[in-house]
Amino acid sequence: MKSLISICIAIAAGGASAKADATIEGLVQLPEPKMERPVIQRYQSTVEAPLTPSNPPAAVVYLEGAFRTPDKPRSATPAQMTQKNVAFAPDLIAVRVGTAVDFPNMDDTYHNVFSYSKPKRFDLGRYRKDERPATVVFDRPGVVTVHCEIHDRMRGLILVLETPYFQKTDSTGHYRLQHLPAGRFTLKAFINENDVRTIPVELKDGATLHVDLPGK
Amino acid sequence: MLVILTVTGATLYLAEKNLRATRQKSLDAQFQNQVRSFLAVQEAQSSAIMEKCRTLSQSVRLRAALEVRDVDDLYQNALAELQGILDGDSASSSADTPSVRASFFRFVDRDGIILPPGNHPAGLTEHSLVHQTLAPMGRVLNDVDQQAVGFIALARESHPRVLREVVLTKIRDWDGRVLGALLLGFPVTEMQPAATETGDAIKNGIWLNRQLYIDEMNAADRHLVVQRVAAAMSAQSAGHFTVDLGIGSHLLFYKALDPDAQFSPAYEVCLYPLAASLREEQTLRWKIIAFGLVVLIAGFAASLFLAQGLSKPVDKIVAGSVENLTRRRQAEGDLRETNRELEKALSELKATQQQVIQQERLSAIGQMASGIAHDFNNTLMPILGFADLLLENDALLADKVEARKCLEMLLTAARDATNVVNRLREFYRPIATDEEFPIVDLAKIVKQAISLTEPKWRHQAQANGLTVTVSTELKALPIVAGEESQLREVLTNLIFNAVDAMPEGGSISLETSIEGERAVIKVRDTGTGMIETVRQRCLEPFFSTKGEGGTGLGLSMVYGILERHRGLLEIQSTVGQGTTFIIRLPLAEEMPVEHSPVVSHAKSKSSLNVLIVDDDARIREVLSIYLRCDGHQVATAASGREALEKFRRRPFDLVVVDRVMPEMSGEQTARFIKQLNQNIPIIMLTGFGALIEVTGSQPQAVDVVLNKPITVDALRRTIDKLLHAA
Repeated sequence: MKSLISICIAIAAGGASAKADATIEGLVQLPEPKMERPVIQRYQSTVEAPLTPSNPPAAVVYLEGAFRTPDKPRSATPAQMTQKNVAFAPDLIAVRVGTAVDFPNMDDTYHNVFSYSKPKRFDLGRYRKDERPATVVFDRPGVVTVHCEIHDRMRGLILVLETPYFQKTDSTGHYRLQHLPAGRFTLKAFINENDVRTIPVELKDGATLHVDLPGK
Repeated sequence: MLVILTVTGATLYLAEKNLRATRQKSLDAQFQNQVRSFLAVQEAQSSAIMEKCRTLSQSVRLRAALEVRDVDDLYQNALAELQGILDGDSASSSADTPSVRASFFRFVDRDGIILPPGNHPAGLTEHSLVHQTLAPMGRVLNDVDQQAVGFIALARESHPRVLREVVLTKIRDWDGRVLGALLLGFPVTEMQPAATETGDAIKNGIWLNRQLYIDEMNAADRHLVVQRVAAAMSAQSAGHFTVDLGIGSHLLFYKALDPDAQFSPAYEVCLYPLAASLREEQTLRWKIIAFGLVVLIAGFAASLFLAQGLSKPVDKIVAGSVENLTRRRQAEGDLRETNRELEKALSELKATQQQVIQQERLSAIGQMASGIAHDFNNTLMPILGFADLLLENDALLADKVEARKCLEMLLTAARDATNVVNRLREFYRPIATDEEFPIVDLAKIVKQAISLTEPKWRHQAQANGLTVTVSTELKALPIVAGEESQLREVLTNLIFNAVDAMPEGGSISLETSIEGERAVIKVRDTGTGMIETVRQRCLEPFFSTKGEGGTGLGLSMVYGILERHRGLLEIQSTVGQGTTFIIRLPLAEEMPVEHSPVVSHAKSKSSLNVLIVDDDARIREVLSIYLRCDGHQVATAASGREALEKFRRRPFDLVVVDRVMPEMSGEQTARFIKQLNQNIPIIMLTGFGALIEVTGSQPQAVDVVLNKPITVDALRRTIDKLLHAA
């Protein structure tokens, strides 16, 4: 386990900068991409787009702890989770507490996005491609599972975070968090509700830390 | 004397034996019959409920709520779904939901722990015993495959009314992981109480968990029966034995209700009183003995009357057996009556079950609505296009003939849109007996259907490298009363199916003929044919063998339309040889009304000389209008050969050519034209443009490939671009 975690601390650039600026980068070991076989549902209408393989795997990496740096401004533009080819695309997004999320429908069929998750319960009702459903503001931290009432195979995850420092990895699991404050924090990688990996990290100003988060 | 004694003794023995055997046999038959009917009724009842539970377990909302263990949403959504089934639900206690009423439902999580319903009226919420008795059921969750049925008792009383049958249905997420289960309880059907031929009551009960649930029986007797049944079960003896209870001797039958269940086993128990039969036996015995004595005394008194004395008992024995026979007949009659009633109840329950299933299917129509919306959008396209064209182009609007032409196409498209909407209506529209149809010519409809479906059977097949030929044999030209568009839809649907049934290509033939009072249309294909079960089910809504490609609505629509036309549909199919759909419609008497087509003449404004080459007259028509509106001069050709002839005769500035054409393909035509004039720009129209993009095989002789359907705008832009480039 330990051998897998390599922590390289680059030589700190001399002189104290006015603004803390640390970086963490590394690799999150992702689960195998899920090969979804298109299920023939007799009751499904046929005008829908053909079913495609599931979204590429990805994780959300984020830094938790007490930050002394001033709060980063919250983004004013809403995040997006579309419905495309009868699936949520992307099927995992991370937003900061207080962020609004749009759920536009790109398919020719109806969708009805809803969630019963504790941090945010909502139900957008049925809507089509050319209808704009209400925007949902996620005001409490936690994991929100979204479903479509019409298509039971659709499932999306929204990770609502308090920290302003987070990033979604690319499909190979690479991430790079920049402009971080210095200090002792906890680095977490969220793969799904049952797989959240945690590592304590110490960040130094101007240094780049390399942290890999392997699977169990 | 000795003879008399022997005769008396033998009679006594035989009569008793006969009586006992008959009684045993008749009771056994009665029990088996009762249990069979009971099980059948029970099965019909629970299969309707099980079907409902299965549907419920697929609900996205229930799954979502169970996943996050949101008890409020869980029970609220389930209550909405179970409306009309749950007892004490006053809003829906109407007559159309008879017999099956659930008394309660609960959810358990993935560990089998019951999720309490809180304030939700999930039935029997006050009963603490519900929780207690259901808990063991939740614990066996992992042993259950998908659904299981068990029995529980709601109270410590021993009346059968406290029993409930419980259906456990597992709920899984999309990946198949178990989220929990739904438990739905409903009352156990009580066996029809029957009486023996002597009028003594038969007792029915259910043995569950070393308890006997039965009416009117004292504790000691109940205890005894429980012990004896338990012992008999462990010994695995035959299904009956005699038991001496406080209320007399009884013959006890028992049978497992759910031999495969994972839950505590339950047994149906039946007790038949033997007191009456013992009494009867004794009476008969005494009668015969007394009789023998009388005969003996008579023998002593007067041997002269010996012969008479002998004949008398024989008469009496005969009379006795006659009486016995009548009684047995009567008992059998009663039994048959009970059986008939049970069968009636069974058929009623089956009908209810069918209704429930039907309702589930109808709810799927909601999902179909999005498909219809799509079709509707497609038909709106030309409406918008032509309206746009008219509004944008003042000159066109001023030219009455051209404008009229556009408006006519607009109307046709709008009518098609109406038909899309009507399609939905076909599902619930009842057959109106007084519906008046116009008179239509079937041969004409056949021809129209063939040309309408041409893109499918000719072009699509050609693109796939197949040859599908369509032939007609119009032996008679029958006239029927009907709606033209609907009858056309019947035929187009059948032609579509025929093409789909011939993955290797083949031939379709359409024949019309007259058989007596009926017009007959046969649609025959040389396709794969249907197996018997498919043939039987193919008219059901949502039944499809085309997988993702089929809605399962085509044939059911065909059937619906023919019903409305008082027509008949016969399907003959042989696997590997093909299928023939035979439509029979009542003949009409009048002659059809002819509609004369509107004649129009083109106006000419010169700018470009364009040659349009397409084998489809409608496409030629639409393109001509598009181009003429923009002030071009247009010539058309229906084939590559004709195009070359025209091209040799006079020069053109631009050629628009269709890709898929008979004889000479669009590519060949383009190549020939380029040989004649290398500088002429050529636009190729194709329904397979996307295909060309993917394979990167754009024909060399062609300058631009345009995808069908083509909008005015796209065509205009392409022409502009081509001419500027040149």
